[in-house]
Amino acid sequence: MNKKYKILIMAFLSILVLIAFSCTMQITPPETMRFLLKLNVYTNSITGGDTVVVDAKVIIQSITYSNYYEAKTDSNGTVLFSNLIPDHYNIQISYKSDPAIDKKLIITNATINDSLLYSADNDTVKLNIRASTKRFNSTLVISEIYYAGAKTIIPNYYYDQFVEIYNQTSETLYLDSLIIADVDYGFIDDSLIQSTHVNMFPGTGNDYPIGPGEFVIIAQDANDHSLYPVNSVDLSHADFENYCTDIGDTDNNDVTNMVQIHKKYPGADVLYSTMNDAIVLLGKIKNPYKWGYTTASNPSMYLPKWAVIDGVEYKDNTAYYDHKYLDAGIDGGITGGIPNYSTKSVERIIDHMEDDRVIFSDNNNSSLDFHVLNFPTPGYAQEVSE
Amino acid sequence: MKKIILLLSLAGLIFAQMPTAEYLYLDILSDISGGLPNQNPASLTINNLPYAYAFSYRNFSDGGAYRLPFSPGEKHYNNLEVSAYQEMKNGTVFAGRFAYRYEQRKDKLWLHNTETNIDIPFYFADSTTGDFELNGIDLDIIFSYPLSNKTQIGVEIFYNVDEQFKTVFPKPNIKRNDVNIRPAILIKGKRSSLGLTGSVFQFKENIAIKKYSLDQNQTPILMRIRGLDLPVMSYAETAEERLQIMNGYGLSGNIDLGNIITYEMNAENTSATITDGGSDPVEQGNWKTVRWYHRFDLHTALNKILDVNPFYYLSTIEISAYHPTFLSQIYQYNNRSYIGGVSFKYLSQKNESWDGTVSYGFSDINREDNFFGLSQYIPWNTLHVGFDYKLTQSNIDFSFNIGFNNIKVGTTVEYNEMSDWYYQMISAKEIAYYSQDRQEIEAGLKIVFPLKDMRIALSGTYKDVKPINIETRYRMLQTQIEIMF
Repeated sequence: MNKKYKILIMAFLSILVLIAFSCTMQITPPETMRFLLKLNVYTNSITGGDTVVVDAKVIIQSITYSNYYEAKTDSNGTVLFSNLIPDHYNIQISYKSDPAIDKKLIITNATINDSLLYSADNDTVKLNIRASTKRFNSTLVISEIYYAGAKTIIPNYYYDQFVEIYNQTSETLYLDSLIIADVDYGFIDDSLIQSTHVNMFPGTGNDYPIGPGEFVIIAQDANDHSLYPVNSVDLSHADFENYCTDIGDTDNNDVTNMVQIHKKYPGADVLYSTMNDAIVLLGKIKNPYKWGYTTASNPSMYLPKWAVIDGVEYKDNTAYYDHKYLDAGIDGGITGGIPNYSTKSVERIIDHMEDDRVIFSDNNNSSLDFHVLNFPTPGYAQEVSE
Repeated sequence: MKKIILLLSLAGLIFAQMPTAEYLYLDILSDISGGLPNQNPASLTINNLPYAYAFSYRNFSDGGAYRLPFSPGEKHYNNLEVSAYQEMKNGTVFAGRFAYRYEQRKDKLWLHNTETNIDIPFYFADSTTGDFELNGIDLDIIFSYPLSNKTQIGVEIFYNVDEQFKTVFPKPNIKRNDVNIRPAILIKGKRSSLGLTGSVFQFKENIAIKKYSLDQNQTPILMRIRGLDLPVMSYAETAEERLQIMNGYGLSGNIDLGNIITYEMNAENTSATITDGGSDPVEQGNWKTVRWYHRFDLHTALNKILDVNPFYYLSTIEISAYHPTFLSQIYQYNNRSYIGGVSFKYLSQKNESWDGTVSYGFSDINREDNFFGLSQYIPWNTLHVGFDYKLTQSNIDFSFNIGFNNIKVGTTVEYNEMSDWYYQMISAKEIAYYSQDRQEIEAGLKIVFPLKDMRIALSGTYKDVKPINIETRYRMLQTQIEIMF
């Protein structure tokens, strides 16, 4: 045989052998970062010693992917969640005693907010949660925030914003000298908040009561915004109105004005961000100017976190935990995720009724405590109205 | 003429196979080194300058229901370019090309990234399907210089800048800025040669969604896609920015041993980072790509008119992607192609040649999403038969080529028990696309003729991909006119 033909045949056969050997690939199931969460729930406030909590409802919520899982603890106080995706989770545990046994409602409540659950080396994450058993003791809460503004003919409308305060207790409380501020600067670990707008309720002590189960509305402008072309809420009967003293703000003479303490930017209104902000209600502070201001040309006002009675943080992207302003002691979650100028609001979820009085969910976690309403409900709670 | 051939060859490479170099993902046919051995810019000498200068217009269209989920329903590219070859002082040779491109991508699902390849693990998208329009310019130049009779050095510089708009809300604006620099050396012996080409590149893509006051009554849903399932969704954001930067380097080599054996190789390493948020940056992950490509050709002249040349081709792509927070590997991708075959060259007359190629290849893709615990494996075999005919008569060059691929898919393996909506809607369709037995036919025609002191080149390429047993198609047509001086 011609030498060239031999070379050709050898070369061609070598190629076929190479291809044949190349084609082998053993396919095995993929390795995964999913993990098993084994969660044990204890309490030491019923008997004094560690007691497992049986039949407690455990809700875990993936912050990034919005996955939601719910299960009840078994007789060992254990609950298992399998194939979880590594993520930051909010974990809420609740247990209500049988009213037939204990007429006074006792809630065993524990939450872990923004907890990073991830198993790097093995596939089981073990978590023990010691829940505190307590009688319900929330006082004043921010029950609704309408910040988004209304969809209308350009320019978009935001003068209809309002904040709603609610008295959860069975006693009359007083709003005098309490402060409402917003926080859209600063960092989660700061001991002071940086506020853009600070407004104080008027009164010297017992001038502005809020009865048990009563709502109070603080409007940006206490006008009727329901008229065409805005088609928003009627706030002409609001309880309080933010009034800017420096530039000609509209003023409803029938509605009590809040006392303006600070406003970062010049302008005729107290405009909360229609996308990202946090609203806080602070208790009485003798001298709110004591903590000073930031050094920016338009400074924010410093206020102490310890004075915060309630706070709610909202963002258009509820997964942005890296940019939170409020810590878990005030609000471990984020509510919102709604379009600006959509006439939608965020409202606290009703937890239960107590003597015909609504008790709102208050876990200091707006991801769990709030839901989105398609239309604001100033002065009432949606579930009750329905 | 050579340029047309090389452009058509390059087009064939892009649309027939997985890219063996990162820059091919740009989908820009700007390559004046494409016809040189292993694309080595140092190979450009005064002996292989095709013309002094030329103007050309190219039109490319493709479309069809048989496509990957994120591929546009139709693509229409228009390309105007001017190119020149010039011998300069001291033996330096210059080649340059400047092009303007206008491209339309129609009915493109969700994705904002300009090009869509299943091996890229991170994408940015919104919830609308729409049309994209792109305007861009690119520049490609080569300088080569003879150090001695045996040694030549050269460098190729490619630069592209383009801008793309989605025509429907939220109207993302995508800007690309790409540089590829390739220094090279060629050492020639009496019958042998050795060429080496380095490459350093950066391909940058910036996607921005800005607040459009006129559209504020609409709300986009933005998606950050990672791997095979569940993108990170964000609602009601009115502004967002994504920056994708791919930095890489590579080395190519070509050896010709006495025109008996030729060997070409290319190795490339790319690192890519993704950052969202513009001035308030939030890392979104990164990935690394390693590519290998080898080709061996054995040249055997059986007699004066017939050459029989066995060849073996191997390429691999390995990608590993990492999570921005957990710093763990969350995705891996492997693509292998092994092709062996024989080409025949029959020189019936001095001005006429018949070339044929028969090859058989094995390819596979393995994708693993280690975050969600999903994987896909698709193997397939390709039988290729190709035929080229060239004739030169009365100063007119004529060539015709036709190729046929029969692709037979082997047993696919899928682990999808823990899949969610995105996998079922997109990733499952991607494996379905590759899992189709199919036949591909590609034909090209070129004619180059003189007209006064010019040479006019007209060319066209048509490709039809027909899956077996389903009534969908993919079709591609490319036409080009070139006026050479």
